[in-house]
Amino acid sequence: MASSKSPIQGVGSGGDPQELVLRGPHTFRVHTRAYSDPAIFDLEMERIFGRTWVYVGHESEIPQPGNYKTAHIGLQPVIVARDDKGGINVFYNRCRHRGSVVCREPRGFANNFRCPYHGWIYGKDGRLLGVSMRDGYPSDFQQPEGLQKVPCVDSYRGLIFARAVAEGPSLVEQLGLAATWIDRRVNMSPVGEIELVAEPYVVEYRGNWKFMIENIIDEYHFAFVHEPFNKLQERYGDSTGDYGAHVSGSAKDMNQRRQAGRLSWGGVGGHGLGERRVSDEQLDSLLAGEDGDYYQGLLEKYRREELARMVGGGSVMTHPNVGMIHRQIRVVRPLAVDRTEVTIYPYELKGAPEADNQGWLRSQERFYGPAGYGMPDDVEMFALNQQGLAAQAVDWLILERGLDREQVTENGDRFAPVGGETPLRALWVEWLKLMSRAD
Amino acid sequence: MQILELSRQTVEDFLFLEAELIDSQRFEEWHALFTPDGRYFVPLTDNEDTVHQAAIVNDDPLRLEERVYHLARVPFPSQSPRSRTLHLVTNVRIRPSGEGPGNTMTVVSNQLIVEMRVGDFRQVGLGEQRSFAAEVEHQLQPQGDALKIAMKTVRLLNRGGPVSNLTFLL
Ligand code: FES
Ligand SMILES: [Fe+2]
Repeated sequence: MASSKSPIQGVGSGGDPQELVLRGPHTFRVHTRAYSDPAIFDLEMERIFGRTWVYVGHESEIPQPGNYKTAHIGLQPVIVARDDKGGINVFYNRCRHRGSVVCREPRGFANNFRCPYHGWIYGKDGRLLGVSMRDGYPSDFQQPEGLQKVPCVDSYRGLIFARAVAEGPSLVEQLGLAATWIDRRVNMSPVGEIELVAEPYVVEYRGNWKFMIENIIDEYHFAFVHEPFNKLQERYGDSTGDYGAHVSGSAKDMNQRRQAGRLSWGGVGGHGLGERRVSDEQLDSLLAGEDGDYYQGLLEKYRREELARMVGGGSVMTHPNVGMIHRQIRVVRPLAVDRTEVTIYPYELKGAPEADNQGWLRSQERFYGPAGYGMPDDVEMFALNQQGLAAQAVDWLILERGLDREQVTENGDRFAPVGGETPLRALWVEWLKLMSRAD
Repeated sequence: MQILELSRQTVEDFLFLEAELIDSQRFEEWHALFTPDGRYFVPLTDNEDTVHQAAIVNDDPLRLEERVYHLARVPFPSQSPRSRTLHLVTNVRIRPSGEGPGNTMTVVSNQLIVEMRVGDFRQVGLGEQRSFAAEVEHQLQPQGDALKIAMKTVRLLNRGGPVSNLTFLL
């Protein structure tokens, strides 16, 4: 292989992230330390989660003024809350007095937030409304304005993002091509909205957070990690409620259908995108099927080719912490260099047939829950990955699959036949960009 | 067999048998304890809604068959190596008749399910004892001389919280 000519060798013990990703015409390798060094993790919290747009929640979780939910930007706890004017604010979940957490519930309704420690009171918009025993403070006491706000908040199609620094690209700019993928998923609703109705699954694993974000758009692990699931699909197909989420049939059939109409994209901004489309026959049978009215309604709004892609339902992993796959929003929260929390929020398509929303919910229940036939096997891999990296004598991980088959669009987005590691490389290119900026 | 006449001892013996079948990994025999329309349910939420909520396990008869087939016949990563389990069954309560549908008896027990995956105990996730406390509800029906499970519901104490790998039987 051509990459054997590349100067692949160990890196120094210095903290320079540039040394941790090795790129050449036929080379793309990531150093062990990028996944296992606590100093690198700290730097990620500062330079990635501290600087870029991070997903913090969905608008449907906080529909009314006074609704709030808690979230994290990297390791930092925040509250996402709807104010009286309907605006969304994100503030740090930390009392301005002496630092206690202000909000203890994962979501709910509050007229105001009262700190449990000494009772300071903050409004729905985070403004400080009351300081307990105010008379005890000096007359020139410099009272904070309120809970400290995260400077930038924006949402795209209901997905709320926040950025801990004021300067930087707009959310839409940052999303780039990923926005199209989000559109395709949300547009499956006749009214263009998704709703997070079900309680999420929460799973913790003992591995680096990047293993999860790489996995969502790793289209070819399926044939290996999920081979046992394929056995179930061969035997049970749709009869136990897969609802067409996964291919079924003979093993050969399944392999073929996993290639057809599929591409792997690496979007500028570090987004991994799986492109899928259903065949014309599949689309026709949906248009003529039980939920034909629903699909016909969509066909009136979107071109046939676009609808084929929407129904195909390609997955999207937007850098750094949120993915959409099947009918779920998946949030990745780093806890430590070798510990990660993943939250899976099944969502419903507003206005879609009840049976469709139900079918998808049952399908995700079968695959993604802690007793499901997919997700537990994935997170098992992440723990194995982390353990394997303890063999630090081996320097590099190889992410070169499909490198020679990649094509680049004029925007700089890359794509390759499905199963190439193009989406993973995009994540690392963005990682490198953010990690290298020292200011 | 008249369901209303069953003593707590008979019911306890049945729960102990069920636990033993799980703990000795006789999954297909465990499956045979269910009625043909038997269900196995592990809710994620307090309201136990299955219309808009996903569950941890929500097995109708066919899904239950699939689960047992998966466990017994298809090696998969999160059970390679396998879990060993030990069920402690206690606080057995027979609910007053009339609370369950038709000729069924509702029995509630508290269970402590201790789980450990065997294998190289120096590796993450292996050789580590985890315990899961649960309130377990059985809806039992007589079938000939035997009792059968029409529905088993396992209400985990840590439902909704972070939990990984529950791919063994609870
Ligand atoms: S820490 Fe919040 S009121 Fe004192
Ligand atoms: Fe997977």
